Amino acid sequence: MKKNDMNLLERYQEIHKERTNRFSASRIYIVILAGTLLILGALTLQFWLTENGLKSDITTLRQYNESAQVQTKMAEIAVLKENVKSLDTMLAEVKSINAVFDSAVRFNSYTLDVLYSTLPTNVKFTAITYSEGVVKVDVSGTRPSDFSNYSLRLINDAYFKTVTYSGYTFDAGANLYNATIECVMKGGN
Amino acid sequence: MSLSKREQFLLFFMGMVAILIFFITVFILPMNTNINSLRTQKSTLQSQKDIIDATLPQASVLKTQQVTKVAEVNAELAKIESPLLASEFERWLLPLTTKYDMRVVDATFSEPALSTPTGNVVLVEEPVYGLKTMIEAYTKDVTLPDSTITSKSVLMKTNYAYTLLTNYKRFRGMLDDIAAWNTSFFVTDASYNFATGVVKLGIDAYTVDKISYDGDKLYQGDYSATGDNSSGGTLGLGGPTGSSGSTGSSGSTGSSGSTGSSGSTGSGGSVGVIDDGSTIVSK
Repeated sequence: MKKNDMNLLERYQEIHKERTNRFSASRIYIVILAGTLLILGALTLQFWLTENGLKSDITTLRQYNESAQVQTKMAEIAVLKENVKSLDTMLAEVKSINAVFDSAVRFNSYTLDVLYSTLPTNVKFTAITYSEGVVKVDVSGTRPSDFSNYSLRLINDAYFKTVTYSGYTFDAGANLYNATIECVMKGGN
Repeated sequence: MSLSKREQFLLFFMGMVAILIFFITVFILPMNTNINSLRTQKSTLQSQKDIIDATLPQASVLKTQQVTKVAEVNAELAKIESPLLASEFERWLLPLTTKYDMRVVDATFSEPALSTPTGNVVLVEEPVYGLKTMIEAYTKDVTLPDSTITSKSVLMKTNYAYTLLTNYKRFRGMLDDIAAWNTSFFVTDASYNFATGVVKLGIDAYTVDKISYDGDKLYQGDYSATGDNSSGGTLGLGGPTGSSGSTGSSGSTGSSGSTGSSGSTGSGGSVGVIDDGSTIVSK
């Protein structure tokens, strides 16, 4: 029986050396390094792919947005919008003018008829003057009460906004009283 | 030279850190920044595209809106006369002086000027004092201040002033005819002297340029205005409310309203404002 066969330590050390070699520090470092480089490479690749994908999307979007057809249509729409806005402004302005015209004082025969129909029998017109919403009636009468009578009739008729007179004079030559009655006209609507 | 395990590890660790820093600095950070920038760009472009996609279908609606608005504006503008010259305005007024056999003594026309229409409404201010205010507050019968509609818009305004010789009835008739024009021409001044038969008439003509001149008037042909007040006289207080035109001392006029010896104005006696012979016609 050989004694050598019984030396297990040598064998153990051989196995242990192999195992130690297998898990040696340099190997672990290499594996870690390779793994890290692999991860970093993959990460870089993913970033690169994302970047390129975004660039591609941007190119597509830009081509669509800046295409001549789209730009022409957008320009047309911008002009249309501007036109509609401008027309709205114009419409508001013209409507405001027409509202003023509708509410404007219109001097016509009806005003004269109101002045005439309320005229006391012994009072006569001398002149009628209309200027910018105010009618001034020059009248003459035989009695000093004629003008207050006439004014009150006009006031009660309610056609005018206000009816006023600031006095009267007596013309001895003509033996008549003269006065000017001022009537402020109402607007249209 | 042999390195201890600790030194080896430290060396490895530093190498790894260097590699990481290198990758991060050279590749990852710039790419990440670039990606962020690209994402922003894409987002902006996507928003633009979304706006474009939402806007493009509006074209037909806007076209319809534009047509409708133009029609509305034209309808409103049609109530105001287009700019006209004094010679063109005379085609409105002279047929009236002819119809009513009026003598035109003088006529003065102003230059067109910019003006804001007022409507000639005179505002009456009620006096306000403490006791009145208290009474109104007590009776809850508050007098509202007089008001009128105003506009800040500006139009062209020309004033046409005439001095005419006629009688009261014709003056009255003429005022009605002017009102019947139903245009942006307004009598702003008018006077009648019963002793002399002199009429002073001032008309403000407001005009505006228009988008479309469809339906506008053409002033063409020659018009022969007559009228010398030969049939009228001055007329005192005759009867200003008569229906068709008896005129003063000497001039009775026909039932149809044609007036005077020379001032007949067509079959029905209406002087027209438009479509009166060849004086003013629609385009």
